[in-house]
Amino acid sequence: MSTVKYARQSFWSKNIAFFLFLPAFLLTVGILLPFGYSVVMSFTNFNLTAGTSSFIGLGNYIRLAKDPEFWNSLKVTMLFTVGAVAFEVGIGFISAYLLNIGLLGQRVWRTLFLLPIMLPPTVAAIMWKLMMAPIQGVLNYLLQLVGLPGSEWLGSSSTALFSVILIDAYVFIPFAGMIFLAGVQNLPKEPYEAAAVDGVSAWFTFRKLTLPLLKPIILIVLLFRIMDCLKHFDIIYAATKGGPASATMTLSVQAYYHSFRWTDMGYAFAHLVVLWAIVYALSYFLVGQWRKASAEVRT
Amino acid sequence: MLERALRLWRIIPVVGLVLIMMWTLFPIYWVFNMSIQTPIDVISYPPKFVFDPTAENYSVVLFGKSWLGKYETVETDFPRYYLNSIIVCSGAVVLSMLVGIPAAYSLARYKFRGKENFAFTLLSFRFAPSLIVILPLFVIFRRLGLYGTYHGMILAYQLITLPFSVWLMRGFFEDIPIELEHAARIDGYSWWGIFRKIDLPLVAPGIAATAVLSFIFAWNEFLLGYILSSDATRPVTPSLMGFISYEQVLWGQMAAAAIITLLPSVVLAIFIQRYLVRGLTFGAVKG
Repeated sequence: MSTVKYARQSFWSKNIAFFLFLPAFLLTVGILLPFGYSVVMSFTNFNLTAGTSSFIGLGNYIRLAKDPEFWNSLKVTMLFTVGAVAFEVGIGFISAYLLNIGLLGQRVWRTLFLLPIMLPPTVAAIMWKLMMAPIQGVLNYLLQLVGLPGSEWLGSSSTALFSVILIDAYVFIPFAGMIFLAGVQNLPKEPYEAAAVDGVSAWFTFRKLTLPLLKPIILIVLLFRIMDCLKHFDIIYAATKGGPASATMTLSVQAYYHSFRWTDMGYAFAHLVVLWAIVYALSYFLVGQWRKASAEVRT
Repeated sequence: MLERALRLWRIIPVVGLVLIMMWTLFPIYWVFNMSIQTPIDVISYPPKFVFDPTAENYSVVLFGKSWLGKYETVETDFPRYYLNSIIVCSGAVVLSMLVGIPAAYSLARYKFRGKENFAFTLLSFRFAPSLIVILPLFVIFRRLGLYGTYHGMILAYQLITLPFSVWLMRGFFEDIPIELEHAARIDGYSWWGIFRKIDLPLVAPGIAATAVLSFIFAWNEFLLGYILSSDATRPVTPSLMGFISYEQVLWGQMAAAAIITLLPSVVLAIFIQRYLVRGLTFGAVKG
């Protein structure tokens, strides 16, 4: 990055960076304040209806450690994240490959492939909810047509988590796919020509050349998808509201219930602070890995 | 034998692509299908692929009449929610641009203390669980009288649009070679002249793409609107939750509402397709 040097240094031009920057800075502080408020209030027993709050130290966090509902929501959050990310990265990678090998009408397919990424997630949830209706829904009908058994989908606690993972995958496979596609298209040509001259197998080229070169791209996809899944709220809330029987109760949904249904704000904030700590630690790690990987690829 | 194996090998990618396209397009086709069925057709089993289409669901949803299901009637104010979304999202984008363009420019062109820290604070909003900011905003907004107001919501939506705009536009400004500015400087242009005559025209497409993507993100956002709006200012995505409990009996109308809600996002996205990769990764991947 370079700086611009000016000959005449008036007060305005000397501090121009500051003035340009000030409004955004103020708004950012405006966002940080509520964030700090959350952290502080997580040490109180702030109740929304009563409007009272007093300092209770680590009380909420001790309560969390003993709360089976909390451990359940932590488990659901992790399962949801692992399931959805694996699905999206896997199918996304295959899609990127299929959309890059020059099949007829490739450009049209690429555009159509992207459509779900721009759906409002709540709308996607509603669409799938309509299709997943156990009795009159079209999904069970189609399964039955090809001779497979139907499912209760969102209606049963044993299949609900899988169903919401499916909906999340529907929206975000294109996200992974299109980033992989961009990565594959930006791959340098020379190493591949060299590999072709040396006559190494396709699998070897993929493992030793493509994967390492794509590492920064893969890490970016992981970073965005893991973070979004950990804090996930809208698809699950619109599809199941956390049910049935807490089968899809993620940390965010749980925190929402504590705050609005039970007006137990202090406890809700404690949930969110824990979630935030997990997200922060993981994103710090992944961003670090990404920077390292992209530095390696560039040299 | 070998020839057959080879042909099979060629056909696998085609089958794969067909499957992926079906998975991508069928839900959209099917919900559109449901949205043009009568209340009787929509709940018939087996599901109908061929039927007499009707625009009834759309007129009911768009003109705010009561929703006549098979067993139940529901009153909603869908047009109003739609208008709310347009007001809040446009307002949020305009504010983000006014504040974000100068900030992005100064991040791209000047060195100052704490610059990278600030940029990363902004980025961290993208990854933080949004409830951790929204819940306190709910409490604070109620005290300040901002709860359920348009300007309060436009401020709150900066959580979505501002970090995104600043990060993306910073990249667009950095793409402009600094030598251009130096040259203009020698030609006697003032700072403002350089910004207006050199930088702005060059980043204009980037700024437009940023604005459009911000609008889509704001439009798709659910939680902010769900928690911080009153009934009078509720945006369209959270409003869908209001009648989701009727989806068992009002499938056709639900489907029509879903289609109308997703339309702006999808149509706008097709126009700025070129910038999607870059936009969705906050500029980390230049597609």
